[in-house]
Amino acid sequence: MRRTLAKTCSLVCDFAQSLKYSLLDEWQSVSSGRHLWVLLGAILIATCFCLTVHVTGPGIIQAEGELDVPAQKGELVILFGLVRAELFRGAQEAVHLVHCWLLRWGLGPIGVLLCLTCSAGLLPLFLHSGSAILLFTSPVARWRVVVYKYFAVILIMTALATGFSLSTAASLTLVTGYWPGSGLGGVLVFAVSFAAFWGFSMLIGALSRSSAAALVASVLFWLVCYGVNVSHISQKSYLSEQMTASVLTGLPYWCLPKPADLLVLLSNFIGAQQHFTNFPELLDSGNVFEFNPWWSVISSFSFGLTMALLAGWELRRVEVGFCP
Amino acid sequence: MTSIVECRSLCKVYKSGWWSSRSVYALRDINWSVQSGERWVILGPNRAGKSTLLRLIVSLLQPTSGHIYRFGESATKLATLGRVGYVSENALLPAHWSVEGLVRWSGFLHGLRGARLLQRVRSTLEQFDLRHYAVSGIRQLSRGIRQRVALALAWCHQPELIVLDEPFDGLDSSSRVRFQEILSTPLSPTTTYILATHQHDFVRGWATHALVLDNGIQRYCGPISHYDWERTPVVTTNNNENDLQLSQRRTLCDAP
Repeated sequence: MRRTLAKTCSLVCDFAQSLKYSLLDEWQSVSSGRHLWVLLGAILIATCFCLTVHVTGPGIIQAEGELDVPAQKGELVILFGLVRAELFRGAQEAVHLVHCWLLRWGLGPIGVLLCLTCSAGLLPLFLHSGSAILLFTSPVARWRVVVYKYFAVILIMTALATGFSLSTAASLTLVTGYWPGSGLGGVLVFAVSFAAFWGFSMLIGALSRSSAAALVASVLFWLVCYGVNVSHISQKSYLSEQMTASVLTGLPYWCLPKPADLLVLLSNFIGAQQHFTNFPELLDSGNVFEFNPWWSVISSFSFGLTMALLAGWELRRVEVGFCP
Repeated sequence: MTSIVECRSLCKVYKSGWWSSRSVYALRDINWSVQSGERWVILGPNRAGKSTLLRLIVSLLQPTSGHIYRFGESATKLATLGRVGYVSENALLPAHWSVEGLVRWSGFLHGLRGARLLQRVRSTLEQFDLRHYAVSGIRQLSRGIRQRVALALAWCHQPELIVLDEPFDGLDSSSRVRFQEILSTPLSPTTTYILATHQHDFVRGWATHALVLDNGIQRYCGPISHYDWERTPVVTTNNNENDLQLSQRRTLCDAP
């Protein structure tokens, strides 16, 4: 028993150490290029945008009677007065609205696609680097190298997403005096969304050894998955009795990542449903059909991990460091 | 006794161009065996196939046909790479690491852990005069210092087989003399070396065996004392003989 425990501890320590070195290598590789500055620039722009927000009116509005009509109105000012909106909600809720709007895009489609764009070249560049020679002449299996790389990049992107979420929340608090919530639950959903497509990007990078191919393929794949996800839910909402249509949209829906489902989950995690409506079909499906958020998370993440393992399998026979 | 490295009918063909239409023969029918404690030098002109052979030994490349064994096991089994140290041509290193961080990472990858790892990193930096550069980034270093870092990475885990591809390139005369001293005092009597170089004057006194390649063909394989230095091929010939017949190859293998 004690020996098994010691062996398990040693394996866990080894995994943690290997992940630490991969993380260091990946971080140094990301930070030495322009990609990190693009992502940091995007975070800075969002933070500066938050600094231009100003709200007036009561903090929390008490509803009056059955009609739920606010007693007082406030004003939301964005971009130093360029955009003004009359508020039918309290100032605290208005700050939360602005934060939710930023998080829905920043941790949603724009954030995921931007991170995919910045990470698409990492594996093809790695295969031409000195790191590849060092790693591939060591006794570490290549699939393990790829898996460590997969998790290292997810951790880096999640850290950046956390920075985005916290810096926007902090700057909104600074200028308005109201804390909109950290939005860290949304960061977890972002991590799953990114992981699902980063695995695919790694596979294309390993097959083609081209950054451009990995970038184009992963962005197109995101669009296809979004389309499949929405069409499956639409089919369930309107054409539920047609067996052929059900199979045609159901099979790819269950196999592929589910960006639309994850977007709904993100909205729920950051509390955006009180400000924005989702697709009516998605809301319906949440009640009627088989939209199960946890199943969407598990299947999307499993897809990404499977793709990363396939990339590792592909690298088994990849030749490094030759010029015919 | 198990060979440290064994090649049987080893061939390597590079495919390039659209749909792999162009074939470049890098190695043809190499039969070679390296025993424990031997010091081999691989000689030959440019494009003879020296670097390709070394990359095949460390599994960076896959043979097109034939077999390659490390420590008696197929080269596809990566576990034996823990007993190998490799210095690549041009000392290609991850540019964004510090010297000490990189040596530590390399030691970790090759199975060193804890206090032993720290002790080996310290002694290796000392051995290769890299203490002053420990915190310097690789990209800030000159080519000669980078070459020394590459050698330190190969030495750090005290491997049984050391594979060196043009290790003297970029070294100034004092570093070269220092490295020749390191090579002349092996880690242990059983440490095996395979060195590809053009430094004939040094290897004449250092190596025990020689493998001579020309245009991918094995011209000589055996004790260096029996090698006729006047016959060293120096002219690089056309490497694109797609129709070369295996039976017509002239292989002079004197090895036992």
